[in-house]
Amino acid sequence: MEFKLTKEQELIQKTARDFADRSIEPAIDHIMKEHAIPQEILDGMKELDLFCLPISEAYGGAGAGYQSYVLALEQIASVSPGVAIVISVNCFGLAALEMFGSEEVKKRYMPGACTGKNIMSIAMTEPEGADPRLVKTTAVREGDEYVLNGTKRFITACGYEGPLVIFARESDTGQICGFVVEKFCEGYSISEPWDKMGLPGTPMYDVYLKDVRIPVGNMLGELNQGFRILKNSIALGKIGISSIFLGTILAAYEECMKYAGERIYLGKPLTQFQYVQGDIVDIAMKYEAARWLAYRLGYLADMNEDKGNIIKDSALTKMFVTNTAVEVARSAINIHGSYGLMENYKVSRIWRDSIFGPQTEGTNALLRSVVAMDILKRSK
Amino acid sequence: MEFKLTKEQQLIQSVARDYAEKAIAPLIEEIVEKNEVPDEIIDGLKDLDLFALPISDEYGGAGAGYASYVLAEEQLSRICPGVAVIVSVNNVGAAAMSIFGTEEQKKKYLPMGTTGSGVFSFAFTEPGTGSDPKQITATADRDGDYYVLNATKRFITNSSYEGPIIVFARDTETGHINGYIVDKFCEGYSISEPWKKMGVRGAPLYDVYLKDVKIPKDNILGGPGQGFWILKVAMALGKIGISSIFLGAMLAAYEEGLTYATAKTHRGAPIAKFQAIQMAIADMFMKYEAARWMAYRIGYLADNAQDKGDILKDSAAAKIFITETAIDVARIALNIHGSYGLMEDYKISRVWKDVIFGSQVEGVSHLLKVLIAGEILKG
Ligand SMILES: Cc1cc2nc3c(=O)[nH]c(=O)nc-3n(C[C@H](O)[C@H](O)[C@H](O)COP(=O)(O)OP(=O)(O)OC[C@H]3O[C@@H](n4cnc5c(N)ncnc54)[C@H](O)[C@@H]3O)c2cc1C
Ligand SMILES: Cc1cc2nc3c(=O)[nH]c(=O)nc-3n(C[C@H](O)[C@H](O)[C@H](O)COP(=O)(O)OP(=O)(O)OC[C@H]3O[C@@H](n4cnc5c(N)ncnc54)[C@H](O)[C@@H]3O)c2cc1C
Repeated sequence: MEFKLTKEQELIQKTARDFADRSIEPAIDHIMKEHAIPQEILDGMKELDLFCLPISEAYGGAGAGYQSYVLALEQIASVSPGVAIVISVNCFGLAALEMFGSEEVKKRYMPGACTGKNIMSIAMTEPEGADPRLVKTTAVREGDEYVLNGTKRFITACGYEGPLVIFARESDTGQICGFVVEKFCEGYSISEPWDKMGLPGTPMYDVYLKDVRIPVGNMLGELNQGFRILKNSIALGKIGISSIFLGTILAAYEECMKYAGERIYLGKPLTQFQYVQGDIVDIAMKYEAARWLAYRLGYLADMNEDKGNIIKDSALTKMFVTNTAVEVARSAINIHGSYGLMENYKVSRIWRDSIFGPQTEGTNALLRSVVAMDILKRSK
Repeated sequence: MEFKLTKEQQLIQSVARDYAEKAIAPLIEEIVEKNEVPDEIIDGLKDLDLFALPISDEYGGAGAGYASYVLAEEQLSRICPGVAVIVSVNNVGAAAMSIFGTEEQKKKYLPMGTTGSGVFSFAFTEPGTGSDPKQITATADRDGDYYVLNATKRFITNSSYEGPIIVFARDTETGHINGYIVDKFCEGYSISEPWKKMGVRGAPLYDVYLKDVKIPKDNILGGPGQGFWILKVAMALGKIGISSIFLGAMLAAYEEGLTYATAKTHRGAPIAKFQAIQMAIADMFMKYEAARWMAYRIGYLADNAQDKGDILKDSAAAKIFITETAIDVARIALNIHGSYGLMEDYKISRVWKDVIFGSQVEGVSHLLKVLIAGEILKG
């Protein structure tokens, strides 16, 4: 066991934090008001390789692995979880291409999303729900092409150009498979953005595919491999979400330390009161617990070629980190008194953002059942 | 980062697990009933080098480090936290001596707690305080080449075994708090009736009385005035033991909950088929994983810290988290058992009585928070 960052990991962590502090922080008001990330922030992150950390260099990625990815996302999310979500969806999509795409697909789509202007999206959720068994979108084989039709809900980054990995039911096998579609191709359209209450910067839309035609080669993996792709994808998304809400916890902790040190109450700073000390320590302690689970998940992802092997660990980590983020946000507000409810204070934002964790990438209720089934299967 | 046990660590973990299952588990009823661990278990642990894992092999220890110690304590405690507490207190005393003792002290005393026939005690708590060294009332009067000690120490583990006890007392001349090395059962040493404690059976607690106990002036641990430093180091290391022990108790609770969920049937199918029970299982496991890596990490930190006192903040945070989580997990496991969980036929009833000890020893949770806050705020 070795609970220590390598020099490279420390460097990436610091690079991400510096960028977030210097370039994202000053733009936070803009991001909140416009509900959009300024282009120069996206460009800046691409230049620093922060958009493709775990992706191999062969296709334009940084080749830095998932541990570094977790560290970087945490830091960026501590300033703006909205920005971090875009990175995580992009890396999620890239990883799916890297693992299951044909050489041609990888060469065509990956470099643009690593360092170019493109951003990837992933579309699983539908109006009926996020469970893959509910997928109604169809991909009908017609000669050398697939014809896709369907509606996808709550899709991140689908307003940017770039490839979209979409899960649909393949006509010959009846299985759920992943297909690569170029956003804004013929037949692609999106709804008005949803009015979501937190995570500003990443508008979500519904995506409509109407007779979208793609070459057969744009199907990921072989026929009948859909299940493997799904399992890998389930784990991949949770690495991103775990890192992002770890960043939320970190932000809450930092805000409380600052506030409790500055705020004078009955003639002394809040830090002199034992109940405030207790709250701060609870946050610090929960951060430690969440942190090492999240870093471990990065480690497991680096060690497992087949990310399907880490579904259980990714699910329990995601549950733990996101539940903890909500608890921590609660006590952070508490320390701030009524000031915490004012938008001048970052904790008000943290409160709104934190609740997104348990609800996305599989609700925590659903994930508990994933973890339990795995345990029960093994204990037989 | 590397979240994987070394081969050696895996081996130590499995040796401890096997020993606990084969040698301790069959005697558990007797241990609980008598609140006493049979001597052959202590001997067996010594034979397997499990009694003093982090102590240097130069003095009879295993020299295996704290990461291994955490793994072994977890496994011992999974079967019997009482045994693990005996081991843990022995190691706090032995480690304090390893770090602060003179060569002569180490040669004389350490082997007693590693391969010999003794067990270390560490006596800080008094009737007046278990938390605040400034309130210590035990006294050490300098008398020529000797100190004369007078004290009442409360809740002292291992105090009925032979071997050294490190007693914290105030030098009446200088006012310093120092750790003094006393041979248990020397003249003037006596113990009370055992306290009737409801859990962690097997590791009885006694009050220790020192009445005009005379020790050579060299039996002071570290230099004069180093008592606070020694206490800080001992507190940091003691919390590693407690964290591992209640991680083990948590593991036991989880396993009991899981076993019951798959064995107990309703309308012909195990209750594990209900989503409510599945949630309970997933929650227990998730909490165990979070606690586990915190515990393993403080083992790692201890192995890599020059001054073990430096890890006090981390070991205190881990200790609070793990001991509170052990209570949560036991609560969930008990819930899965319905009313059966309240019956002594079911192990979970014993675990329930054990888990509450974690948050009350080695610094009460909320007091520790005050202490960690101090460290955090210092920056
Ligand atoms: C900010 C944000 C970004 C997102 N980005 C994307 C994206 O890029 N791509 C994408 O595909 N999706 C995206 N989503 C969608 C998100 O992943 C899903 O909304 C989420 O997984 C939950 O699905 P649902 O809302 O349909 O809930 P449902 O699946 O309909 O669940 C409804 C309720 O039923 C419970 N439930 C469901 N199944 C079970 C079960 N088996 N046992 C017990 N209870 C159960 C759930 O816990 C929940 O309480 C995003 C969502 C947000 C908020
Ligand atoms: C199984 C077991 C084994 C033990 N083994 C040993 C042993 O081997 N050696 C030994 O020396 N002791 C041992 N003890 C004693 C144990 O370490 C102490 O009892 C424990 O540290 C708490 O001390 P106390 O009960 O005197 O509480 P006190 O110190 O009296 O505290 C009482 C309450 O006041 C709170 N409090 C105190 N100070 C503050 C403050 N400044 N701010 C806020 N709150 C405060 C505490 O948190 C607690 O809630 C053992 C106890 C048990 C149960």
